[in-house]
Amino acid sequence: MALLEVQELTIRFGGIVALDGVSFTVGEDDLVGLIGPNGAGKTTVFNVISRLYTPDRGSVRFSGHDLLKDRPAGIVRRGVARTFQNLQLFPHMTVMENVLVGTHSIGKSDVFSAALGLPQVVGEEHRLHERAWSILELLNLTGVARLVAGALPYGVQKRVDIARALASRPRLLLLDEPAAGLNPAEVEHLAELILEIRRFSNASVLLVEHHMALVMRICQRVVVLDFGKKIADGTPQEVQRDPAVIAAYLGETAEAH
Amino acid sequence: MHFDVQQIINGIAVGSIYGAVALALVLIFRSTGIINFAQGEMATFCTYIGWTFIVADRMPYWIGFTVALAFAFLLGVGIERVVIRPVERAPELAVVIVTLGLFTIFNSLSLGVWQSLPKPFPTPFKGGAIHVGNLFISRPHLGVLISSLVVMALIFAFFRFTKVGLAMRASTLNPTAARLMGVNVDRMLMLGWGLAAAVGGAAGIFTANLILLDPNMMGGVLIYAFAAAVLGGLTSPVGAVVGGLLVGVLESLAGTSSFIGSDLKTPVAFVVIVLVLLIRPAGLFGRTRVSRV
Repeated sequence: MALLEVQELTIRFGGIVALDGVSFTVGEDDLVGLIGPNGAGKTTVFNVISRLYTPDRGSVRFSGHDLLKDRPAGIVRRGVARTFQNLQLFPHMTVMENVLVGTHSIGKSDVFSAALGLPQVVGEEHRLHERAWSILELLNLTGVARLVAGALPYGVQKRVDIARALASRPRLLLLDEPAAGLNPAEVEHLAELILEIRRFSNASVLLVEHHMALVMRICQRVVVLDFGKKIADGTPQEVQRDPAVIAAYLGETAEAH
Repeated sequence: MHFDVQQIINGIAVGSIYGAVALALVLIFRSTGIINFAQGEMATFCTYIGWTFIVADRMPYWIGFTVALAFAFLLGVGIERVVIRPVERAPELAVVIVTLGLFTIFNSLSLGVWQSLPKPFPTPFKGGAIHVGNLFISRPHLGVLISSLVVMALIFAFFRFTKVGLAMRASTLNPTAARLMGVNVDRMLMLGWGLAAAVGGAAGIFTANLILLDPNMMGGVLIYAFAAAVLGGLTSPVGAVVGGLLVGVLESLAGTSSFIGSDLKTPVAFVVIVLVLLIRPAGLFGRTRVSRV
């Protein structure tokens, strides 16, 4: 059984069909790329999986469980964490605090015992701090741990976003355009980082990305969307040769822009 | 304006109360974007609860104080859940009207249950003034100053060092992202109202320590607390506290300077605040919203 099963997803905004019967799966220990031209519906897929949108039709199952029954705050407890295309950090908090909020879902203690500062709560907070710190080390962020996140360079903020998502100990990590806005050296580093993250966390990764070289290099499988429909699904080599994909990216009449 | 260290000391003590109420206002404003006009009347009501325990039931002062604050916390939580949440998505003006409604409800409740006759409120800080050189501070003032600083420090430590405090800040800064981290944002709002009500309640009791307890006791305090919150920048808890101390000092200096006097001290304090806001519209510690165009 696949870890994530997306079936026949359809969602309309007014008259626009943003997703039209999209189905795909992500297996255990998989690294799947989700690509397509602008407006193809990639981020919409993410927003459905993380329950920001409710689809008109279709189902999303995560290790057998119907995700559409959960509230947004419940998704992360199932083991699904995401990053954002346009950064959604907590801008006035430090990097460390951002990552600690990411651990929120794995703490067991409830609000009231935490407010009383019971010993096991203190022990748990200590463990969460250690976890947060080890993630900061992994993402090479220990040097900025005490700095306010919103004031950092864009590329660093993107890593904080990934660190925060990773902090929840996800089984599936949704990365929304992690390479957007990065310079070539940073993209090179990102590829290594994603592979390293997988070794660290054993999480499957679903990667939305425009940077083709990155996708083709690290992904095991690639799903291609165009105008809300899936047009291809296969290995990077298969997808690159697919005439429908070539047409979608270059335009059928190959108009120059 | 005659610069008088003695007046500054008195102003700081009273200003710590303004700071505490301003902090309560800011806690709610940050998370819900509204000003809780009922903050002062809720505090008065909770102070009467404290009075009932301490004076009528002869409970030790600090136990009665703690029970009153716990009551205030639950009151805040209950009000958020029952009255504020249904209008959460309503226009802001509607929510403002709801808090004005709460203002009259709690004012009438205090008046109805405990009558209008001012009541002395016991203070654990008894005795004469403490002298240092030719300066002095009365023990009640010193006690109130220290207690409100302790209450505010506890609130800051809670937000800074606890997981729940962190989750509450995250909910304020970016509710959507906080939800996706598994934070129950609705519950954090409830907690925020509870904490604000508890801080307000503490300020109510401290006010009653210095003046007599009566149903309209917090009216003046709330006005100064608004001023303090705005001066500090409305979104900044630190700003609220600093704003409160500044307003207290301004009020005290204006009230005793020979050419202003106590009748005109309020307008003068506000004129100074307006001048500050002309130069820094976002307040002393406020953040100006910068949006990408």
